[in-house]
Amino acid sequence: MIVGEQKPFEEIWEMIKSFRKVLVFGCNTCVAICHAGGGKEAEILASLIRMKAIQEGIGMEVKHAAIERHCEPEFFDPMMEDIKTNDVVLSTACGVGVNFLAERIGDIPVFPGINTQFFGAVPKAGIFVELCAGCGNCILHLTGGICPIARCAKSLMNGPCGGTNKGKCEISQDVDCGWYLIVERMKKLGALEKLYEIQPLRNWSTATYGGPRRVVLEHIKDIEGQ
Amino acid sequence: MNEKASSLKKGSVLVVGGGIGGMQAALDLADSGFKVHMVQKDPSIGGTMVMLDKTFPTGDCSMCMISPKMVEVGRHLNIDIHSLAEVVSVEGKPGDFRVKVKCAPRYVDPDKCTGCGDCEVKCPKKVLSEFEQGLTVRKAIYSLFPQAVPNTRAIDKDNCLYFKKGRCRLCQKACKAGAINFEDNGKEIDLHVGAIILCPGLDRYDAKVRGEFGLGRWKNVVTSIQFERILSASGPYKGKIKRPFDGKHPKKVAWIQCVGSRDPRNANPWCSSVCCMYATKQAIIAREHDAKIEPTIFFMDMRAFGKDFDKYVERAKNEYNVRYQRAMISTIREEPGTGDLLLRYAAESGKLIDDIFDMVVLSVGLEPHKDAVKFAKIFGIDTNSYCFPVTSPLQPVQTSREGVFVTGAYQGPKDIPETVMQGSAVAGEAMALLGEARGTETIAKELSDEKDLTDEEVRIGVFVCHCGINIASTVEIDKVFEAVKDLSGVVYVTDMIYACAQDSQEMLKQAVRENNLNRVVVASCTPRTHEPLFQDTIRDAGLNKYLFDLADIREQCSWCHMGHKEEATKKAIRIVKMAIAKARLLEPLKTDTVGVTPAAMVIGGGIAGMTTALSLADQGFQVSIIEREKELGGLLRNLYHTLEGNDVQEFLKSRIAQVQAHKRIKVYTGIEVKKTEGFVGNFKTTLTDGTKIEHGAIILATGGIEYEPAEYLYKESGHVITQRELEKKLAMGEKPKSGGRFVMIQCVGSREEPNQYCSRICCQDAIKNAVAIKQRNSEAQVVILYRDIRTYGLRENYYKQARDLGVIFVRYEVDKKPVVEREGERLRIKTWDYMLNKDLVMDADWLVLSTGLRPHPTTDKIGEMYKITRNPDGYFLEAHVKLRPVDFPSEGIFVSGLAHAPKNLDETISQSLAAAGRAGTVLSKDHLSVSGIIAKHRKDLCMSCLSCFRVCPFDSPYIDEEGKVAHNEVKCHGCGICAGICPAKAFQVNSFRDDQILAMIDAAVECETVK
Amino acid sequence: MVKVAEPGVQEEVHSIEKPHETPPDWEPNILAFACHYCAFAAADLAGVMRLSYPSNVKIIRLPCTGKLDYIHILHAFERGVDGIFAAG
Repeated sequence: MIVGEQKPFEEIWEMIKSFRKVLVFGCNTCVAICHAGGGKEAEILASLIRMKAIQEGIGMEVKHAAIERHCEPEFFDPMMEDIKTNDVVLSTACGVGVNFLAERIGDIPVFPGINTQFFGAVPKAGIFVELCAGCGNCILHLTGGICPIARCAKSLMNGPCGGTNKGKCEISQDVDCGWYLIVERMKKLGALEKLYEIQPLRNWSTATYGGPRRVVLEHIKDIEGQ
Repeated sequence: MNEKASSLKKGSVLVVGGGIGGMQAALDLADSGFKVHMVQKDPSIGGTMVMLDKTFPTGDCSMCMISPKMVEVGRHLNIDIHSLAEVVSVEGKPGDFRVKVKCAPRYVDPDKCTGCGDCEVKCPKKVLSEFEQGLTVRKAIYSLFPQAVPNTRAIDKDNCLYFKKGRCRLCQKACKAGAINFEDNGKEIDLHVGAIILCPGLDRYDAKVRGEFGLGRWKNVVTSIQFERILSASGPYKGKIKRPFDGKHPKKVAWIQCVGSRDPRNANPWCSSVCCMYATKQAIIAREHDAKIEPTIFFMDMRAFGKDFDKYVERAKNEYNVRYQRAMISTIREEPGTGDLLLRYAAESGKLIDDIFDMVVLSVGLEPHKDAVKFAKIFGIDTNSYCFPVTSPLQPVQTSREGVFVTGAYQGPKDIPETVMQGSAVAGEAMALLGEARGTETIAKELSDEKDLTDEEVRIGVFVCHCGINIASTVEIDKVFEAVKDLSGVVYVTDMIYACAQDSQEMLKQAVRENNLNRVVVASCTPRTHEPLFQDTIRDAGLNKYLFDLADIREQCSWCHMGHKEEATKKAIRIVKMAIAKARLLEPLKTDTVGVTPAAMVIGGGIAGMTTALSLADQGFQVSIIEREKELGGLLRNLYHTLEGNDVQEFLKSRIAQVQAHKRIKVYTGIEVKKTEGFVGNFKTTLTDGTKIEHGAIILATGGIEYEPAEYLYKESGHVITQRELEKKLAMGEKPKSGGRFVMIQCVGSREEPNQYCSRICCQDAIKNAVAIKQRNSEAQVVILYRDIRTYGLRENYYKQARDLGVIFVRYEVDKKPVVEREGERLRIKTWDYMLNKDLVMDADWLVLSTGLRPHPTTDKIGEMYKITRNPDGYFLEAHVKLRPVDFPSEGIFVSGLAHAPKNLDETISQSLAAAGRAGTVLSKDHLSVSGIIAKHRKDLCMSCLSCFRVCPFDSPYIDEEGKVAHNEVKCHGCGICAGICPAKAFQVNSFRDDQILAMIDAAVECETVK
Repeated sequence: MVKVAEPGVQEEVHSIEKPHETPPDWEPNILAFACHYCAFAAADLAGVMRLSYPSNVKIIRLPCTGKLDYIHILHAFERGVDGIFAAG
């Protein structure tokens, strides 16, 4: 799931303070689960903005709403007319949602209310950890299911580096060394010798280095003629 | 048990004593189909616990915990409280006792009295308050304490001016309900019951007898119970710690332990079990009240033997700077004119020290009531030489007379959780005795159909109570009336002198019917005590009971804003408006019911599991015992005698035989639980061999193991053994050699990190074996190296016996542990002697290690299976340390024995009976009803994020067959933590919905809709 | 109340507090959220003991303070409540 974190309130305020009609727009999927930008957080944020506006002596009308997902048009298209009655939309969806809405809304600005962080797991209530970098070329079968791209600070393919320190990474004692985890895991799997195989230079074009990515399903290709 | 006699057994039980133990027994019994008569000699139930400020080791407020229980007992349809009453005679046999009870006159008619307290205000006679330990006064017409149950005042005849001088009657004039009756002659009632439970509690030692402590002479010397009242926010000093002498805040405060305890020459020989911990608690709480206080506790042995007690003492030392000084104080002297107190004691070094304290607290012990002998005679039970009832460690709650049970401190000094445990244990025993008579004497309320509200508009009736003058003298009722009568939805407003009086209830019903009301708001007192009463009334009038709200304008308005009429009236209007705002949005709530499988599954076939199983089977339920090992018996197989001398192996053999012969018990050995599905009343378990069991309750009796020492050359030398191994040698008939020396080391593997807890059994084991050695050959030497000897309660006798037999006790400290070396065949032990202040070196033929207990290795796995938390030491954490010692937050699951914490055999048996009693309250029901106030889950809004699943303390959200979050309403307690955390707002708590709360907020400020 | 999780922009119709000078005789309007089992019971006890406190505190009873939601607090502030006391 996509993990986000609400932006500092001051930053949000700076973005929107010159507008008079504000819609705080939540997304009820990934960012709701991480308590950053669902309908509930949108309602809270709207309330905070209203109070800030009163404190600053600014007449501002702030509403809030939320839909299931911001990344598919069918969810917000029926509301588009309502949305467009505002001067600005503060979206608490992930960056995908902000982009997507901005593309379709016409001449009303869409601002981000949260910082989109990473794809994460939820090992415990309230804790979100990055486990995958979405690089587009998965090698988890070679590394015991532990991703060196996401979990090694240097994204090394043939680790660990000299900075590994009793299972921790040199960048911080709080960060596990991804390659240490890989070695331990491969030991457990009885497949340590596989790590002696040197991985060749990696083609990063499948990651964002190759420009924006796009996936089109086979049967759709046929229909769309792509 | 005795099925053929069933028709002769009575389905009712007499509970003598209304303290926490009696209340627990009464509630367990009444909740499982027995009629209970509670006889209480005071005007209110509550016992000792109501006098305490906080409780150890959690620091919970005592009254906050016990008050809801008292209300529950007071309101229970099947519990009759006979207060100011004493039993005068008992005849008959188990299942069929005839009891005469004498009730002293109260002079206040409980049927008329509303508990408003107007009489008390007018009473001119002041008397020292017994409840406040003489630190303040009460009136001659009084209530023992504000939360008293029954809430009927009583007249203290010996102090009443009318009774003494024939004039006054001011209370009678003040009582608008006409409840005062000076002609009350009391009454005698005859009860016919099946079993009798004795729980009169204990008295406190009268420290005035020990003149050298100056209690009653030096004003700043107080007893520990007086200090409890001083600490209490509702006490004589309103929670401010002051010296009685001059009202000054004390700085240096001393506690003197064992006043009246462990003193066979001057006072009582036994250990009172609770004083070390309550003194620690008082010192901590005193520091929390006033950080300038410097507490010192003078003690002999620190007996922190209970669950998490040692950690509590460590916290007292390290976080609260409580000084523990090992010394016995012999006298206290007052410094003339100052009220300061001079204490002289011998320091560790042997030097005499004079120290001045601002205040001294005497930790007074517990002892049987003065009339204990007479009391025992009435019930025909045997007592020991100290006037405690005779019980056996193998039958800890059974007296010498069959059908008469004993519980709580009267059985032997003990703390609250053990009293509660025994309360449930006697309930379990009574249920087992009277099983077939269940439900023969209880009553249930017949209810008419509820009115259908579909398509009806909101029609609210508002009833404003004067509460005599309690509300009306501060709040202007007519203004409240005017302010709310035109609010949207309000169609009827009236006022009442006492809304809770019987005639008012009838008026209320009539008003509902005549005005076609469909929501009711009563503006009177607190919902905590009165909501159920009004809910029952509107239910009688055909309304769903949840269409009610209570606006508290007494406790939370008139009583705290006296003399401020205008403000109080304004606030009262606001409070009523808030209630009306909520009432508009109230909806009828359905309370669903689910069936119950009348069977239990017990995990663990040790003595805990077997005891619970036998009791439940005797109550009439099917029981499955799941034991992972090949045979039953658990740890008890290695035990030969109790400290008191009972033959354990014989006992175990007979228990196993009973279990195997019982037609309602099925034993599975060599098998474990694979998984359990379902919820309270409806569990389905699959065992590792594929067997499937359906059951309504689960008892976790997974037990513990003995620590295998890695220290003191154990396993390296054949002459280093554990207490258990020594016990076996002795049981096999080994006779110690003359001159042979046994050295025992206590606390091996206990009371130090990472196992900072007392294993509770080792002191007694050591003393038991030491006495056995000495009795077989007095020429053999026994030396016990100990940290604190923790022979609590009546076990202290055996400590004394050991010393009398010549067993040598040498104390060591954890930072100076004994050192053991091998000298050829012999062992050499070196330890520091604090009496001689030098190293002591001794040779030993045998070194005996008193090893502690550990939770069973399966505890974690079982805990995860049933989502039950473990404490830092790995033992199961019960639902509430004080009042729910055998329950878990997840209902229908109970704990007994070592799985809960280290304990002795008698305590394990008590707790196991308690688990059976508690499980009996679930299994005896045909169906369980789901409360109306629960969280409702909307699956259409839910995104299965698991936030609720992770925070729910009752484990009610779950992942269903479709892999989505669903909600089990049977388990839900309606706390609403799920609603607070849910990012999708998929949860709403009935009667506390967000829209209702927001409407109340709006009504609390000026956002009100007028029609 | 429109459930925010459902589509549709929520219309706010309630009056919202306007900024203004603090009058000299001003007293804060305080709302307490209290757990039924402890803090609400404590408020009762204060009454039973006739402890006096200012009358500008009103209590909303909750089944547990864990039920308290951010939006309850913010809603109250927006309506002009000056202080919130959450006790449980």
